[in-house]
Amino acid sequence: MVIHKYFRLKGIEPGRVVTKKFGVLDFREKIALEILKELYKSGFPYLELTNEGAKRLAPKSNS
Amino acid sequence: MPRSGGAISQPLKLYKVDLTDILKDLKDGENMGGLPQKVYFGYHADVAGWPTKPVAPVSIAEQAVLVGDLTMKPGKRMFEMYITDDTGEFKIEPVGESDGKSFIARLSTFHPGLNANLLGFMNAAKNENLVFIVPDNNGNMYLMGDQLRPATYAGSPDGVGTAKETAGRRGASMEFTYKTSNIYLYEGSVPLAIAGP
Repeated sequence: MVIHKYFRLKGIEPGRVVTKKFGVLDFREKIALEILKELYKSGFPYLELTNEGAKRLAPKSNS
Repeated sequence: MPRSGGAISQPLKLYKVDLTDILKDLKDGENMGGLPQKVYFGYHADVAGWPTKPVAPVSIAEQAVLVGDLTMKPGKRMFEMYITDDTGEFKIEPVGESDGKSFIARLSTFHPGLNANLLGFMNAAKNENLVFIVPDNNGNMYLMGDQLRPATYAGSPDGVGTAKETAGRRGASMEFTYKTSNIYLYEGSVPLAIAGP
């Protein structure tokens, strides 16, 4: 389920997840992009990039 | 020419973490006791993936932190249990003889009231393998359960019932234990939402 144009929820239905850094996040509600980016970078298992997110946020290779 | 012994001839590598000074290191001076008014629980069998023990940790701090997240099987989730303030405790008890030391982690709680959900939980959990994630008042979390070993209901040390006096506290005390070779902090997430396929 796409929750932001850059991020999709994976492996879990929209609902509450307790995180160490941000406390309880409810993915039925809008979550700030900065929080999503930080979660994704930290290896949060329930987020993946959309195609647009991959274009904008994925690290660019040197090749 | 030395004979090749295959894998057997490989030297055994023993990893020992680097020791360091252990100083008074209280973040922002905080060191509050007890637990907040909630713990998280689920069935051990409903867990799909477990965080892993640190592999070849370099520092003693790395040695004490699990890697990754606990995830649940499709259709399953972790649940939240309210506990009365100042009744929750997470305690680590070293056990065993010399060269055989390990730990028993103990979670004590008191839940007020004797409602159907609580009694139903006790009925369901009393002989079942469980998992708990226990937050403390300083932002740490402790995982009770791993791939091999569950947390289990150990009893109700302060009873379950109505209390005697009208000023008494009606409800259920519960204790859960988890036997583990090492103690770790858990820095992953707690999935209260239902896991998808």
